[in-house]
Amino acid sequence: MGMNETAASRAEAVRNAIYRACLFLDDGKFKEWLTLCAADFSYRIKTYSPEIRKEMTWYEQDWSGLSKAIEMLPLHNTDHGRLTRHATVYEVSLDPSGSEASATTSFVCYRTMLDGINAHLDAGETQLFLIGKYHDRFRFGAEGPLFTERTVYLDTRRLDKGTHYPI
Amino acid sequence: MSELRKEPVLYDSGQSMPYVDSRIYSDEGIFAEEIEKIWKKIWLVTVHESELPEPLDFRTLTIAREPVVIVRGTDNKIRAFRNVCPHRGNLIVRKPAGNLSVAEPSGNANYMTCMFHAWQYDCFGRCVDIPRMKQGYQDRLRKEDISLEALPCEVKHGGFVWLSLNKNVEPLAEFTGEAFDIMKVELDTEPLDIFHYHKAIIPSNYKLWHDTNSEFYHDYMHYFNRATSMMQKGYFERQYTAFPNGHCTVGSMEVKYEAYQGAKERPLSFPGMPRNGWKMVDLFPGATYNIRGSSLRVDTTTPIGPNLVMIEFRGLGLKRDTPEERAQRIRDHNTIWGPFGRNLHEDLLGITGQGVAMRPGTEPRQVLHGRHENNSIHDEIGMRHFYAEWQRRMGRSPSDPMRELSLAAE
Amino acid sequence: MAWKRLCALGDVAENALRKFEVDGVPVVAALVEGEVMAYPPLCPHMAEPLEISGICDGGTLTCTKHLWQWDMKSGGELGLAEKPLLLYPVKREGDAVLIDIEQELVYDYD
Repeated sequence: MGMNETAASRAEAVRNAIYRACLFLDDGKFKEWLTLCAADFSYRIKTYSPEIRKEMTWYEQDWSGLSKAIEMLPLHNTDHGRLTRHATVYEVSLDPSGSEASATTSFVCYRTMLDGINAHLDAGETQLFLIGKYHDRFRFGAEGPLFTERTVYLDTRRLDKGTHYPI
Repeated sequence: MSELRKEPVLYDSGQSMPYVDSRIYSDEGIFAEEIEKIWKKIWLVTVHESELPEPLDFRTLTIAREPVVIVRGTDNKIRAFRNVCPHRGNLIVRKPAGNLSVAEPSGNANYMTCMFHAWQYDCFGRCVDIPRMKQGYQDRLRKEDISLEALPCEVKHGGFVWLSLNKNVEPLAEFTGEAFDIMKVELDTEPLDIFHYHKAIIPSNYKLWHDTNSEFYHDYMHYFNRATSMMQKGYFERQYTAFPNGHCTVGSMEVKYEAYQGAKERPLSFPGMPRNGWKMVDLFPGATYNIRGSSLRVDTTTPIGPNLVMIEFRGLGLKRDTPEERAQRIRDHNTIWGPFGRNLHEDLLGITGQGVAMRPGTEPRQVLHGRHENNSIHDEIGMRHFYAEWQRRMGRSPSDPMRELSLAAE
Repeated sequence: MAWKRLCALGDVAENALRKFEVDGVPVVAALVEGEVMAYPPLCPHMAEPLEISGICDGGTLTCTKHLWQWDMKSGGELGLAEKPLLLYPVKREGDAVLIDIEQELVYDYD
């Protein structure tokens, strides 16, 4: 971003990146999602367990690990549920240096079933799947902010069948 | 079919194709009997001791619908009690976990408090306070005579808390016998520590999950397994061994670890575990211990209904793991068996499909348990051994479950 | 006799127990009809922290867990209380309140 960009427009660019990521993820366009992420991107899904009273990391990958996992998705059995996110960026903080930023976004992820458990009954029903926060970090490059870190911090801990798709 | 016969068809009694009748997975009456005859009578593995590291730490759970609280006493010993107040039958400890030194709003620090009338119990289950006891009960009831019902409880096999609802249950050592010998060194050399817990409630029968854990023909469901372990030398040499009481084990042939030592780094694993080894213990009526590489995974099932089961998934490492070792274990474990892992979603899809096809009210079906391959990895001996025990405890043949077996036929 | 400084007169409240620590010994204190009264911090019944669960009203202390009550001046039982409150010796020295904590007072909880 040019030196004349204001703080407001930088923050706006961060919000746009987060929402663009949601649109790609909703459509299952995981490769396109990764283009929003820097080469040193690290991604993790975390939550706290009140049962074992510990923080847990349920998933952790770097850019190339994610890229490989995404490539292999079609080789895995799935229930073909469509995950749709509803996100609101609550806070954007710009580092004093102007070259980095962080953001906290609240999200709700719904699942609209296709196979479901029994497709004849379940297909088309939308259920609440997950709620949580995205904690993201960005680096500003020539073309705008790139994700360097995403921590998906889940409130929901009962995922039942679960999913292979990045959240 | 079998209705015309005089005697019920016994399971796996010489048929060329042993089978179970799908009503063992769907019938409400059979489910109710399983709870009475199996789940209320038997030893069950529950939480890990590292979930209760400090004195007065507690965990709560339900076993066969009975609420249970597990407490580490001030003497450091772990005990289990029925988590029900003897006054008016209320649930006492409500949180999944915590420490009793934090007082409840209706009670005091260091005690279990029933919120209803503030009756309190110490970590040994003794009732320590009944508000206005003499005023209400005169001499007819004293707190000294009241205690929570203690349940058989033993910490064993890698530091897990084993419980039973049966006061007369046989010693745990008799129940598990030698089934854990295959991984005794891995589990019992040094303390283990839990790092992963999650659960899933799935519309299927608890036995269908356990069946999946008891056979590996289902590796065809997993791209990951087909592309890796199924292609490895030694895959088809993995053997099942059956043990009394319905348990079985499966795993790598014993490989001398020394053969792999040298300048190479010791891989992150468990004491005594062979490099590239894999060991599993399948426990009747529905739990598994599974070690591969750096991952020890323990699954336990809680049947909720004939077509509903809760599965709890635990991942453990060694207490002495460095932060880097622990981080690697967590990554390794969750890449495959976490809620976003490669295999778990597929395994759960497998049993939800059976849940739909065999749910209450569907036509009875025959479920084939007929693979015989010298007890090697795609043999179905794991399931046949399980259902032989099921037949013994239930007094019903899983092939012909709607008729009780006469005593002579057992 | 070991008189130590408990607090300044303005630090104690009328009709509310406040917690203090004197040489590592915890106590609770309140102003009762112009006099500073000091007690062990926990309820003699089941060790409930009195600065959290105690209510003072007109010279009567009530522990709200099981409603034991005491006369705050004498420590004598009122209502449901089955044991008295123990009192620390307290005296004023100008603006300062002094307490004798030579013998830490502890209830016998069995």
